[in-house]
Amino acid sequence: MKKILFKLLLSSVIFVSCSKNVESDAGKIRFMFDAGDLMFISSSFNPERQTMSALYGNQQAVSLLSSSNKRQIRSSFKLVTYQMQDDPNYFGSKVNGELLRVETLKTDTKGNLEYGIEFGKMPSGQNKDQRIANFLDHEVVKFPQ
Amino acid sequence: MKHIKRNKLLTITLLCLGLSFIVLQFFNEPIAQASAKGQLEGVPEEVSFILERSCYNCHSNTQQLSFFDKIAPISWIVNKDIKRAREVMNFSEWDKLSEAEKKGKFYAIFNMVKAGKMPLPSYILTHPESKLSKIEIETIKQFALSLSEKDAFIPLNTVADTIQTFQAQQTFAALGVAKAEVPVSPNGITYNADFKSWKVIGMSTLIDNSIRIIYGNDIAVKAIAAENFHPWPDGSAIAKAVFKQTKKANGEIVPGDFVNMQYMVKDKAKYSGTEGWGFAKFNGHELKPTGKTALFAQQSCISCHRQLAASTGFLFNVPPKVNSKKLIENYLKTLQNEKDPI
Repeated sequence: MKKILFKLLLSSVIFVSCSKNVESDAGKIRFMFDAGDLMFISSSFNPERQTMSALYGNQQAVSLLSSSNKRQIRSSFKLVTYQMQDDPNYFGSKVNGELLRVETLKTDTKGNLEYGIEFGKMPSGQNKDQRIANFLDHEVVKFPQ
Repeated sequence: MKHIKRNKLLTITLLCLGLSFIVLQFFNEPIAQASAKGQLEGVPEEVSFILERSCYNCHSNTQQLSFFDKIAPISWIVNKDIKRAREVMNFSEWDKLSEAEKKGKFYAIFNMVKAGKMPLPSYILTHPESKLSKIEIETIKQFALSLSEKDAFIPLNTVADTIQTFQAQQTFAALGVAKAEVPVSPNGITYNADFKSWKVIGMSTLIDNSIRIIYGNDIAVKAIAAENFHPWPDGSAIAKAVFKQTKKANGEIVPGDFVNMQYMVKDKAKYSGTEGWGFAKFNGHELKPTGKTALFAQQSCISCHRQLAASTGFLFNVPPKVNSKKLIENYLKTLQNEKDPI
């Protein structure tokens, strides 16, 4: 009887230690940014800040970036920035992690640029003009036709 | 009397089993072998040595099988494993791989050994000498990393070249030049430009200097939101656009030259050999499909997905659980307040 109990105990210890560790993601959720009517324009990552961003915009925003005319009216952008982190499934890969901020840029009917922060804080050491310049520095990602 | 009868029965049974065992050996076709290939080109001696000791017995044309491995019915299982292993990675055919493929293979090898998926735990039980030490895994890792160090970021003017290429394509289209047919993968999956209207579910980079954008169709997005991965619903589709990295003057890395478009399409019945996922890859600006036969995914794609991404239904690019529920709820609340000002 003792032997049986010992074997049962041993096998349960082995089973528990071989089973997947309790994930440390308690209270954490998956997040997919809902850009609404805006389309994906481009992505970028900043190795120094360890951040990863996705830029979305409407058709006018795409036109604004594609032309030298930066006064395109009624353009609307959203720049979504995440912490960059190691891919838990694949060494060598980095993925977008925790949501850090959502910034917006709009042009009014006269083409005036209006910057805003929908969520989070402006990155340290940067001002509004630098952030606007960052938006406008993006190029629309190109796919084969 | 009963005792004699029982002994007789036992003898007949043992004779039948013995005879069956002998007959089985007539159906025991040995797996094809080739002479040893020597050191892998471009791979350091210490790495080659590790691979040779730990992997070659399945992943090459040169097997050193034990006596028991050659006896049917064990040999049937062994031969099946070897055939499958050779399909995925055959070190005897290393020279046939492109530099990019070699780099990709080494990342896959490292990820497999790091996760303890290779050598197969069942194989280690009977071949303990194949087990890799931490130092050996680190040696493979350092070599995989060194493969990426050879690459520099592509110069910025490549983007300009790309844009010019696209402009040229558009000009051809405007002139009414016939557009090529939609590319089709050998397994029937077509290049689908609709992904541009799908939701971006994630972004990733790889040390091989690529930058990736991952899209999911409505079915896939709903499946992710509901954690419905086991199995993913039929009709789920994921598209991954892969670009080379370009470094901008401000230090940010952005998508450069287009590399390929990858798809995973869920159809349980149609792609039963690859866990219900159909794979497709379209390379370069010509969108040239990967694979010579419909079986290419069984030989190159599913192995890593099966071993390393089983927890998310064999898909790597599910957004990780890293955002606190409170943080996202706060963001959504802020968004709602902006939409409905008091």
